[in-house]
Amino acid sequence: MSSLVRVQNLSKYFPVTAGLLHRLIGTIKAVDDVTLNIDRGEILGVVGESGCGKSTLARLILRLIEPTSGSIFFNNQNICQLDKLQLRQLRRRMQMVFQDPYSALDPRYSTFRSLAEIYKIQKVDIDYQELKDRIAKLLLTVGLKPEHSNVYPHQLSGGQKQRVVIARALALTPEFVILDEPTAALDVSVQAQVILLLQQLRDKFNLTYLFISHDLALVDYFCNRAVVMYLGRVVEILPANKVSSTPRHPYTKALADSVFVADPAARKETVPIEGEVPSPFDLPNGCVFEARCPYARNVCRETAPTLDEVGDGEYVACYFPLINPS
Amino acid sequence: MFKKREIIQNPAGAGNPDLTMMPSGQRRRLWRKFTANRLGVIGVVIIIGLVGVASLSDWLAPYSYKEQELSAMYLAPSAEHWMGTDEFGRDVLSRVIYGSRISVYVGVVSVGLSVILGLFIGSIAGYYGGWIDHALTTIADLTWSLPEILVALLLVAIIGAGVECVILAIGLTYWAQYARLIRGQILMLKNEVYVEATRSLGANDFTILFKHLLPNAIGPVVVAATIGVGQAIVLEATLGFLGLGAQPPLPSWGAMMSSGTAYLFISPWVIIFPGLAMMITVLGFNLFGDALVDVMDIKDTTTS
Amino acid sequence: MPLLQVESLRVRFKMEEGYVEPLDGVSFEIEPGEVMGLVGETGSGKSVTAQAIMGLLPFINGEVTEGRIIFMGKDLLSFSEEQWQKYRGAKLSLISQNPMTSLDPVYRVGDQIVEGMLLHLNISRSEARQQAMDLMASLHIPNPAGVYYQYPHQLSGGLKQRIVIAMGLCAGPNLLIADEPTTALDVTVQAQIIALFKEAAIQRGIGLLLITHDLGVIAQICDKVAIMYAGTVVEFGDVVSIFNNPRHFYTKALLQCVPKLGMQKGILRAIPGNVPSVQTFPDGCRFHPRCSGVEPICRLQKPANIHLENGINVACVKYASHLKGSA
Repeated sequence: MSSLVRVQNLSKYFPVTAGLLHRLIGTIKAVDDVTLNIDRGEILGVVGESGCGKSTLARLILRLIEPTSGSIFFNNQNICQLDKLQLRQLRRRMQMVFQDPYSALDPRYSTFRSLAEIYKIQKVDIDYQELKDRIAKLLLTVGLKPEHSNVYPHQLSGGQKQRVVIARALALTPEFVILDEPTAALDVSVQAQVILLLQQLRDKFNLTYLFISHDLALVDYFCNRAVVMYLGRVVEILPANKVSSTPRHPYTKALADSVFVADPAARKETVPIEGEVPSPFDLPNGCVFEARCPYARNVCRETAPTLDEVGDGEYVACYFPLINPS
Repeated sequence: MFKKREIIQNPAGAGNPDLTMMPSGQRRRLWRKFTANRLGVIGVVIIIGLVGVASLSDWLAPYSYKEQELSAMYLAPSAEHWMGTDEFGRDVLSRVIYGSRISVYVGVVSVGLSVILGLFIGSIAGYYGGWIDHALTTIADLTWSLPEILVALLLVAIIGAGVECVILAIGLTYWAQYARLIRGQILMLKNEVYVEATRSLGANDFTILFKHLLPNAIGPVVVAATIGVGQAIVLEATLGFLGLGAQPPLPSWGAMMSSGTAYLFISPWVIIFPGLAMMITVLGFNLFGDALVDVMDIKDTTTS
Repeated sequence: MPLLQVESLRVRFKMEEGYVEPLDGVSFEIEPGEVMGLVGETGSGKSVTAQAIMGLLPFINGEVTEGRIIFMGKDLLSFSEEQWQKYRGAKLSLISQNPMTSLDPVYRVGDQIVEGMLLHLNISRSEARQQAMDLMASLHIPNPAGVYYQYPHQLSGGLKQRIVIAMGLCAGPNLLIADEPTTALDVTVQAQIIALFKEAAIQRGIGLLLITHDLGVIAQICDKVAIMYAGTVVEFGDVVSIFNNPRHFYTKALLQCVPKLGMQKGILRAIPGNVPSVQTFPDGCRFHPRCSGVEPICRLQKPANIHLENGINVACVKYASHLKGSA
C-alpha cells in the first residue's frame, strides 16, 4: 500500500450552544465523513469555497485539532492514538505551511531565531556552529540569502516571508507537507515564484504535498489529483487536469465553469450557478449540494450519496454523475 | 536622517534586483517619535529627577530628616529653611527630599509585585480559557473590589503598620488590573497564525505562552505599570495620611500631609510642599505613560 | 468626448519622515458605456488612482502634484469640496473593497440605499424607497421588500456586495468605480457579481472602472485595460489586443505567470525579484530590475508614454521609435 496518509470517515462537528446553561441547539459539521488517500510522492489538491472544511481537514490531519470521529493513518500508524511524546516526534515527519505569511512568523523573532526554535522545540542535539550552517543552507534552499537570517519579518516582503515559512516547515526534513493556501496572500508574480520553488523542493526532497486552495487554475497546474469539497463533504476526487475538461460532479462543473480565464477569447456567456453556499448550521439530510444543483431529484433530498470509486483513484458522490462510469 | 520635504526613495539606489529588503530604521524612528512628544520628554525628565533626588538625598538634603529642633517649630519658608519647618522643627525640604525615597521604593516594589502576580494569573486565564478563566477572573474581580484601605488595615493587624504593609496592600489588590490587561491581550493573540505554527512544530504550552505570547502581549502592561507607579505613590500617601504607612520619623509625603492638617491655615507649607512633590511625580509618570502609548502604538490600555 | 480622462497623474502623500510618491505617470481614458480594467499588484497604486479621481486624497494626506483629471469635460482637480459633494455619488461613485465594512452595521440596508438617493435626488422618501427596491430587483436580489429591512450582518457576502453596488448606483452616476469588488467572495459568487456589473453597466449606459489584480476578471468583462506597476501605467489599450499581443515586458511576464485552467504543465514562468514598495521604487524605469529586456538607459531615465498606431499606449523605451509627440 503506497498511501502515505489515509483518512477514513473523518468527521469534526462543532456543537452550537445558546443560553446560560449552554443548551445544544445544533451542530456545525465542518468536516463530515471524509475518506481519502494521499499516495507517497503525490501532490493532492483540495479545492472548495468557504465553509467546505478544507482548512479544518488540514488541521485534523496534522492533529492540531481532535476529530469527533474517524481515523487518520500516517505510514499505517493511527495518529489519533499517539501520546504527547509520540505526537511531537510525528511533527518531524509532517509539517504545515500556513496561509498568511504576514502573521505566520512571530514579529519579534529574527529569521534565524524563528528557524533555530524548531531545533530547540524538537530537542535536536546540535551545536551552535552546526545550527548556523544548517540554517544558512536552509535559507539558500528556499532562495533566500544568508543576510536574511538577521532580519525581522517586517523587513521582508510577502514572498520572502513565505519562503521563511517554507524553510521552517522543511527544517527537520519532513516527508509530508500540508500547504494551506500558501500563495493566497501573495501577489501574482510572487505566487508563481513560490509555486516553482515548491515544485523544486518536492523533486529534491521527495516530498508529498496536500495542497489546499480556492484557486482552481492553480490546483489544475500544480497538483496530480484534486479533491473537491462542499460543506464538509467530499463530492469528487479526480485527476487535477480533468477538473475543467471532464468533471463528473455538478458542483465540480459549476466551479470549473465559474473560473475566469485570463483570455478574452474564453469569455463566458452565462452565469454557471446561482445562489451561494448556505450556512453549514444544521444541514438537512440528503446531498449537501442538492439545493443548488440543476439536476437534483427526489432521491438527492432524502439520503446523501456515498463516495464511490469510478476509476483509478477517482471517486464521485452523486446519484447522477455527469459522466457515467463505464 | 531625511530632511523634511524630501521624497523618500530607495535609499540604496536601484536596489538588489533579486531580494531587496525594506529599510529598517525602526529603533531610530521610535526614538524620534518619542523625543518629538515634548510632554513625554518632560515626564522622563521628572522621573529621572525623582530617582536622582532619591538616590542623592544624603547630598542634597541640607538637614537630617529626623533632627528635631523644638525651638524652630512651624517656621515659614526662609533662607535657612527653603520650605519651612514642621511641628517638630524638622526641615521640610530635607523631609521632602528623603520622602522621595519612600515614594520610589513603594512605587516600584508594589507595582513590581502586582505586575508579576497579574501577569501570571492573567496569562493562564487568557490562554487556557474555560473554567480556569472563569475562576481566575472571578477572583480578580473580587480582589479588585476590595478597598485597599481595608486590606491595609487587615495587614496592619498582622504585620504592623509601615512601608511593607502598604506595599503588600497595594500588591495584593492591584494585580487584578494587570491580570485583566494581559488576559485581554492573550485572548487576542492566541489565535494568531504564528502561535498555531509553533504548536504544529511540536511546542508545548509553556513555550508558546512564555516565548511567544507574553513578549508580544506585554506592551499595554508596560504602559499601565508606568502609570501604576504614580497610582501607587498616591495610594501610599493616602494610607500614610491615615497613619498606616511609613511610621514616624520616616518622612513619607502622605504622613507629612497628614500631620500638617491641624495647622492647615496657619502653616500651610507643611502640606503644600509634599503635596506638590507628589503631584509633580505622578504627573511625570502619567506623561511618560501617555507618550509610551503613542510611541508603542498601543490601541488599548483600559484596565477596568 | 471621453467620459473620463486621466493624464500624467502624479500623486504624493505626506508621511512623518517626508513624502512618498505612490503615483507617477498615470494616463488612461474611458468612453461612455465602456468597461475599463485597472490591473496591478500591491504597490501599483490602483486604489490611490481611484481615490484621486474621487477627490478623496486631501482626506488621507495626499495631493496631486502633476497631471489632469477631466470628467465629462470638467476639471476635477479644480473642484472645491462643495462641488465635490454634489458630484460624489451623483455623477461618479466609488465602491470600496470590502463590503463588510462599507455597510453601517446599525442601519437597515434598504435605508442605506435610500440615504444616498435622498442626498442627490429630489424625491420623497417613499418614492426613494420604491426606487431602491426596484434597483435591488434589477440587481437580482431575491425578495427585495424583505431584504430591504434586514441588517448587514443578516446577509450573505454576495447579497452584501449587491447592496453595496446598489448604493453605488442609487443616484444614477455616469461613472462607477469598483475597487476589488469580488476579492472577498467565493468563486461561484464572483461569477455572478461580475456578470451583474457588466449587465448593470450596459443597461444604464454608464462607464465602469474596475480595479482588480485578477486578470481573469479583466478578460471576462473589460473592453480596455490599463496595466499598472509601481505607480505607473505601463500599458493601456484594447483588452483583446493586449492579451493576445502584450507589448510591455511586464505585461508579457504577468500573463505568463498566471496559471490558467487547462494549461500545460511546465510553462508557468515567474518574474524574478520582488514587487517594490513605495519606499523602494527603483530609479529610472520602475520595472527595470526585473525586466528581461533591460537596457542601460532604463536604469537612468523614466520611459515616456508612447502612443502606438493601434490605440495602445506603452511606457517602454523599446518603442521609442514610434514616438510621435507623445506625453
